[in-house]
Amino acid sequence: MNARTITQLVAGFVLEVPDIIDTIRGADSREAAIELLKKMQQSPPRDLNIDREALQKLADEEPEA
Amino acid sequence: MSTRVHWSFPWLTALVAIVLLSQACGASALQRSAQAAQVSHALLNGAATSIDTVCDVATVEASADPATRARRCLQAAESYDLAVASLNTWVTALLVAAEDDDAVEGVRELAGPVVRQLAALADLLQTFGVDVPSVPSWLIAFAEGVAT
Repeated sequence: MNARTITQLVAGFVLEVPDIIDTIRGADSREAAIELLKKMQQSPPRDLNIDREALQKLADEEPEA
Repeated sequence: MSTRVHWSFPWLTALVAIVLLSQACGASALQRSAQAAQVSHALLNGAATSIDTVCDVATVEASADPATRARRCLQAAESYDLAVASLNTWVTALLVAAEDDDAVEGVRELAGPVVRQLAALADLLQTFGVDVPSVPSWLIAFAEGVAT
């Protein structure tokens, strides 16, 4: 791992700190944890916005080497 | 978070394990699991943005080897769908068990598949040239060990 990669990792982590604190504070009681879970259930990670059919056609164009 | 998620995959995967393991601040099993699930949720949203970008059809067609890239995109999409399904199963089980800390501990093993799929996604994104460090195998083993 070179110095640039280490710097990127550290910078990435530092930039995440506010989000991480929000996450920890978002479940600071049993009730808040349940609310957080309900929100996640109502808003799961979004669907991908890719054209799977077109990708499948491209994938079928030639056999894998 | 999505634009910064690339560099943070290993850090945040570690956080999922640490939060699950931590007894700090008197947090209950439910609170720790909810926090870990929330971090996983944020990582998946970031991964979705990356996949949408690198697997856009025009981008794939313009690549040096469109067929291979398209296959990798379909793999990444499958891995993403599995990760989302694993997370949804975990969250639903946590809500069912929410009133009983022992029951919440009982469903902690459902975090394992989420961690595995996040690590797989990091590796797949790396093959597209996305600046995502691999999640080290020891970390995956640690997180799975914590989960079970």
